[in-house]
Amino acid sequence: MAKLFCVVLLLLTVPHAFTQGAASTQADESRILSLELAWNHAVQVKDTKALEMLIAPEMAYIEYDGTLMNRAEYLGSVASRSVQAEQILCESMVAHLYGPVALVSGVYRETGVKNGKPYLHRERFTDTWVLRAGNWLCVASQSTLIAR
Amino acid sequence: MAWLPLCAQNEFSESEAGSKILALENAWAQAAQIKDVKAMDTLLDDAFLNVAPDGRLMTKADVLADVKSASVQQFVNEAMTAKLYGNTAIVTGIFRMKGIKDGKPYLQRGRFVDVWIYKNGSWVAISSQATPIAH
Repeated sequence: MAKLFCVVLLLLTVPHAFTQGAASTQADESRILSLELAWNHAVQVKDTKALEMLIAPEMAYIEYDGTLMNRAEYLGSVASRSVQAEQILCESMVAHLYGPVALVSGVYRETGVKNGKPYLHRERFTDTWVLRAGNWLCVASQSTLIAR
Repeated sequence: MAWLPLCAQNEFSESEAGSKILALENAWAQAAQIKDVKAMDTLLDDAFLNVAPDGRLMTKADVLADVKSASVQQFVNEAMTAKLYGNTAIVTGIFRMKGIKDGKPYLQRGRFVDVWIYKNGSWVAISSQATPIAH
């Protein structure tokens, strides 16, 4: 877990390229996609310290069942023993930069155990990231189940 | 598009922008209800992407076609809040939609997040996602 914490820290402290022109857009987008992967891993290993570094204090998180959570509630849900995400796989993920704001959209598949029962969710998500004091932080995250 | 640092090029105060965007959200809901495709066309950016309550990914053209064909009797927004990040705004809220689909009446309530950007002197939506509220 300490390793993941260090990876997140490294990703967050690399100087952002926002002020360096259009050519740097791709670098920022790649970095944000790396942060998304770090987020998935942090959820799997319940590393709430790493998650705290990725999400803004005012983050709004909308779960696949429509539950709205603030940052503390979200971190609590990740730490909860009733849910254990075993595998989170992103099938597709794209980042679009709008100046100091980035949108990431994609599809992910999560398997795990909730209240002793196995689950499999396939969800479409949109995460909104904001560049703040040189760091990208997620301010909104939303998932919607994909109907089969 | 050349981007300046946060707030450097804003032509509006934060509270003005927040009120304006919430008004645009209601105009959007109204346009969906009365099938006003022209009004909706002006509210959505050409690169607009929508995630429908069933998880479908829709482009602007898909959404406009959907509005034309759908039979929405009521579309109302509740509990909306707007947060401004420079020239970008994020709106969270709840929508309530009533209509008829395949000859049967339906009522759907969901939570949404919409992202707006200030572009060429006006606010346009670039992203919207809806998640049904299960309970």
